[in-house]
Amino acid sequence: MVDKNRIYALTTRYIYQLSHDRWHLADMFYWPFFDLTAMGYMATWVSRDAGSSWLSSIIGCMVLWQLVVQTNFVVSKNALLELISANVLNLFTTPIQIREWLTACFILSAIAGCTVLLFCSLIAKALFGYNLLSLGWLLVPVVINLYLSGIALGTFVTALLFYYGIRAQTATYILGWIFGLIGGSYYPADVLPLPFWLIARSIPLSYAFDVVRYHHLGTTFIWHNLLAAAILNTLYLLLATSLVRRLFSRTLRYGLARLTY
Amino acid sequence: MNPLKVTNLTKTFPAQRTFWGTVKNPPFTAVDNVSFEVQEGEILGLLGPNGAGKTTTIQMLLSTLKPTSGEIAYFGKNFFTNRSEILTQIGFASAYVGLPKRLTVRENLEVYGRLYGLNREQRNTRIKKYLEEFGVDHLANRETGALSAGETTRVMLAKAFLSYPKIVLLDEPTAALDPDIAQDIRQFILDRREKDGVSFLFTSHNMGEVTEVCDRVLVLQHGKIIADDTPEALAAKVSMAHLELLVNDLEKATTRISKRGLPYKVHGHLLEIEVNEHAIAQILQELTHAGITYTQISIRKPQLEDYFVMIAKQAK
Amino acid sequence: MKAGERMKTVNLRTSFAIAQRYLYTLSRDRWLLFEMFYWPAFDIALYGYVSAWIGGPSTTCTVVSAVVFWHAMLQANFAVARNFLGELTSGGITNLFATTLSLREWIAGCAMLVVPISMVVFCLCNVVSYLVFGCLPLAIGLITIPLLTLLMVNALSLGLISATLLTQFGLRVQATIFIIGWALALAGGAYYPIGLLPSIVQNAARLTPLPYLFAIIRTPDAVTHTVLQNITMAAALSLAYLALAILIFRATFRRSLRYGLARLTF
Repeated sequence: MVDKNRIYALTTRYIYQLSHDRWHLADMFYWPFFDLTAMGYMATWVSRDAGSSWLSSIIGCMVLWQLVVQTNFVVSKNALLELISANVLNLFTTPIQIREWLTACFILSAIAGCTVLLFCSLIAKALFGYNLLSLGWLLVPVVINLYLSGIALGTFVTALLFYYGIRAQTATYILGWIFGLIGGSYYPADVLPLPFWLIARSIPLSYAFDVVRYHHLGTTFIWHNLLAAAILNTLYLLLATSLVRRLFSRTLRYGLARLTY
Repeated sequence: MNPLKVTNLTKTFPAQRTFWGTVKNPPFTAVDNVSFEVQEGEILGLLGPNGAGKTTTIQMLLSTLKPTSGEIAYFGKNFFTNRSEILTQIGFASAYVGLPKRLTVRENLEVYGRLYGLNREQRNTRIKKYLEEFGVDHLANRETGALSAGETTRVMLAKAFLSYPKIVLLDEPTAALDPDIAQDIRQFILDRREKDGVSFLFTSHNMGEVTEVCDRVLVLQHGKIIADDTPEALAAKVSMAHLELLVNDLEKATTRISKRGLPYKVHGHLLEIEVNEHAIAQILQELTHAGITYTQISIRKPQLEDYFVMIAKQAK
Repeated sequence: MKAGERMKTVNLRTSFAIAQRYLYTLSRDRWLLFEMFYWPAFDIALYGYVSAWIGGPSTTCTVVSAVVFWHAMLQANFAVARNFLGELTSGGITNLFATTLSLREWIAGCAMLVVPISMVVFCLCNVVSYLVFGCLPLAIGLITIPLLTLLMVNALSLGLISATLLTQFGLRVQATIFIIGWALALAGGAYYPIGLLPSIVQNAARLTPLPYLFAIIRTPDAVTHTVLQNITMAAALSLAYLALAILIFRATFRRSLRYGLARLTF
């Protein structure tokens, strides 16, 4: 059983944080803007002989990749904030449970993810004339899958933070972006050497982004991409939440205080 | 039933290993088979030298550290099977934990109020009440990170009492506070006990404060309880008093005292001698017979601090 | 020695100590060291694979070479900015400027820091791009020397601008040291020619040295006089901006002394 009031309390805690931290707020929009602009113009230049559909496939994937980045980041950064401020000790002396904390993070990441997605789609339209809605009904299952991937990744990073403490804070920034390289977000997994291709094919992101890519390149839609993404997302999310609970329980053997050193 | 009952509580930290599996630090028992109870309306002090196991005990009592064995029961219920329900009735404040620095004082208290299940009216009333009570109402809209250490401590105390807890765990609650504010906090604690029957488990390095506030004191050393008594009874275990004299001939007096083998200190013209309570009269007589006169005398009886120093020296 | 006399000479040993201080920190902070190589390698892989997918090997090499040179500059810029930021976060700035260290010597120390950082990042990025894409940015030839030199000058200018902001506003603006560096990538022509940008942005970008440098990197086989023209423009602008950055930093720092350096550490 989860208590809705406690989930709401945690959600407001992070919204208050964001409202005071203008740099964090700026970060939320600056880096997606940077990423989209840099890669978008680079792709425009490189694809000048290849045709507009190539550019559309890249821009579309990039806009949607920002959703993954943001949802991952919100979940993992919330954990990091509690460790840095040493509030984790206060927090877990209240009646909250880990599942309530995670639920609040998932809600926040949905809000943040949708906000950034909207922002990026407007930037893509303004700079490159790209319309995200050209994906049609495919946008819904793709967005849901990418959201699940983002929160699964964020939950995994949270598990590391709840076990290794502040020492693992670099993972917050680095791990998410590695999946950008091997997750088939900017380019199809087929471009990668075999070992990385195998990794990419075990990640739901590559299937979800393939749907977007092939839609723009006019390739026949393949159902099993979405199905594969959904199955893998469900599996990884369950594993990640199980890992958080397990590692948190193990951390209690040593005490929550050590996470803040 | 008592608010808190601890039975055979033990915490042995597992061995810490390197990446290759070799033992970096062997297993370590920080709390060893500790049992005690806190009665309703009682203020129980938890004392001990650094590393005695006080913080480890408090962490287990708050579920932020899992015990190796033993039982913790609040209000007759097992803590670990009724955690969420019990934690709404426990308050906690520590000088060693933080609050989110970018949130204002009011926002922090709002969040904790919601976490404790308070409705809007309850939150508004109690936040206003405790901000005024602890003299930080003028800081309500200031970011917590901008507060001084003393102001932060008071906000923590406000947070601890928001849920109208039945038992409050306080870890150095008056650290970093000015003496007048610390006195107010102690009075608040005593008032809560008198009016609402709130129980307290209290750690502090201020022995005067412990003597003033605590009904009973548990003394930990190397993870075990070595004493469980009132502050006065513990102080009485130390028989050495401090005798201070303003003597006319300091050199002669110190020579005399040295011959007796008694420890002493000189502060200007003031001679401070550590002497058994029962031997004070004899010492004064000897000094008089030796022609040493004194114009000022004060006797400081053994305090809890002296007991603490005694056990700390024994621990070394 | 009088205060006025102290300002006129630069003790190189003192300056070297500033560079050494940061290098010690770097050598002990595994995560900082890791990040210094992770992000360039990440960028090389990312932009390389995208261009490989669309464009082919020669396009890939062009894109990757620009990324390598860009990071040689960016990481050196971050090192200068982090050096100053480190003094603020550790509260050591008051200690530092309570020694005989002059501002001139501190700036010279930062200049000494830029060189090894740039060189190491550039060499390692060459290795990464060769291993992943078979592309060696170094292969553009001797023009690498003036290119890298001017990029180091720009790294120092940017680092000083970040230090200026920190001196004026304190720790509140620490996020800007990363934002400024990356912002220049958008308008500096690091990832794409600036001709793709709106004309107003292009005109503004041409007032900075980076588009001229990256134009050379992108087309190393251009006719000699075009290359010379670009190098000359880039050199003139780089030195002008460096002079401006130094002047602004000194003025801001001296103004900051009126309120006290300790206030910057909050």
